[in-house]
Amino acid sequence: MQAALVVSGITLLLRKRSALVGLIMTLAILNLFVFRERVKSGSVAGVALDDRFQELRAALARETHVGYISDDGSPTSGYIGTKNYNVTQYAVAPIVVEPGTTRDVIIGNFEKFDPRRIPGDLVIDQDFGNGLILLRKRPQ
Amino acid sequence: VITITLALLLIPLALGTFSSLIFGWQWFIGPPTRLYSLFLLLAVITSSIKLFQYLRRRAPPSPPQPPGQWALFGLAFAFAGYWMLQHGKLFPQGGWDAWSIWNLHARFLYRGAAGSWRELFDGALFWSHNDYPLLLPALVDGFWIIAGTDAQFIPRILALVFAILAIAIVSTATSTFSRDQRGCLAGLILLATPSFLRYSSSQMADIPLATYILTAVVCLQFATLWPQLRLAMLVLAGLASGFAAWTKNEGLLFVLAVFLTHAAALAFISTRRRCLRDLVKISLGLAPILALILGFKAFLAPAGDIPLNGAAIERMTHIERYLQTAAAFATNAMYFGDVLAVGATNPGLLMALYLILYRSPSKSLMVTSLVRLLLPGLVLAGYFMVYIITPHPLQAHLATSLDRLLIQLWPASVFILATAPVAMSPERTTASTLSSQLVNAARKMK
Repeated sequence: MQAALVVSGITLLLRKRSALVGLIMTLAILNLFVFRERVKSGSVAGVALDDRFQELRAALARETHVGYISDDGSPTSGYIGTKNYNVTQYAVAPIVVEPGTTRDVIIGNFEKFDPRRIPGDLVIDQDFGNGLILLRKRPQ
Repeated sequence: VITITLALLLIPLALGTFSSLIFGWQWFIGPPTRLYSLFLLLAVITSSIKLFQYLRRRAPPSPPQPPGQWALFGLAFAFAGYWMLQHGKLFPQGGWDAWSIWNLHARFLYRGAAGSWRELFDGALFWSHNDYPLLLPALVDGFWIIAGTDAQFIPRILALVFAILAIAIVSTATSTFSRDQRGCLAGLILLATPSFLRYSSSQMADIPLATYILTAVVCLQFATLWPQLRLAMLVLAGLASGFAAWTKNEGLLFVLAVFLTHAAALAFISTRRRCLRDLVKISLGLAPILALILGFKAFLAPAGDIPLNGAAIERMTHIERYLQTAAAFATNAMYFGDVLAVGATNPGLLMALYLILYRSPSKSLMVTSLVRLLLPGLVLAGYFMVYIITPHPLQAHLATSLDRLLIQLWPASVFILATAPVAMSPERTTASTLSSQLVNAARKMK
């Protein structure tokens, strides 16, 4: 019975031109409200670049390529793909950030920085706070 | 409406021209200064105004339209614009692809203007798809140079401009065709696609690509509609197609589809010689941008991440890849436009209602519109095959990209479908004679 009512209602709606225009407009506007609800319930999800990265970039003014290490399981070669790595590359562009300790200057972006876990051939050059460290290879 | 449509069509073309000139300057001459960039921008604006005046003089007058539905559309437009701005605040640097690809590339161009911008093509940056074309990054770079800062508000504004242009072009161009108010319904359907709004405010390059695809399709339709502007519209269609290819690699597939569908459209309504002449005119607009793209691919960009090699051909023999891809296409079509959210209606359903609404006034159909329906179909078929040969894990590749690929074609599809029932072309033909034309075309081929 209800299905029959719905079907006859829709049939009537489709025959009446103004009703069909009204239906399209109503559904479209409802979609806009769905988008609004989605935005209202969302939280800041993008990347946020704080002052530490500006200081890091200033410290790297002479470099074109630097290395990169982390404690978040990032591989030391090939594809890293972590958000921390991508954010670091984004922040210091046009300097190229390579995975691993391939260069004399290396960026360390650690979630929990522990100086004892730094490779032996590296020394800390600058600490920008919150695990963002500039390292250099020890002179031979 | 015609005046507004022509003005709107020229804006993305002007932005694309400015971007190409900025990049060309940086590549061949050296770092563009603020003064040079401003000069280039003013030159592009002046040329666009001259072109607009030329087109306006030759375009037919349009009947005045009552403001009723347009006022409602304007309100919905303002509402969507406000919430897009709010959504943009959630992503200060844009969505993942926006900052890790497009804005990153723009930073290389701007900050490395003196020469280190070429480091963008370093092998270590393969993950940022450094083979992708540079229309959007160079456009952002150009405005950063003029502003004297790489402030994030510039890519945010440009992203919104492209989205607004797409919505406005769909609505005004449809009304230009129909000479009535149905354009505001067509625009409303695009406006009521939540994922289109979301990707716009996330600064995804798929929206500028969608705008260029739309611009090319509209110019092709206008070339059919206005014989007195045929040359200009075909050249502009070629230019817009070139900018689509200079925005994203998918645009190259679109260029191929434009040539195929335009040739198909002309095969039914014109002689072979005219078909060739029209394709030459499209090529005139396309050529400079295609040369830029070919130069970029040959001398700067590394190889792409989806090569057509032996392994790709081997993947074509895996039937389960076809099934998996087809299932993903079906699922994405069902949930198109973010309709997983409670209460949302699939924009495809809105389009179907629109077609029911406008089924009766005319039994005539523009053959070019019908044939042009093939265009999104052909591009989709191309996308399908790219998934078949992709070396990336198929499920992840589908999950992270397919909905964006569908959005790229959506504004042009809305316009093509919305104008399909319109019968006002000098080359129009009735639906009943379409089949006889097809039969005649087949006889000619024999």
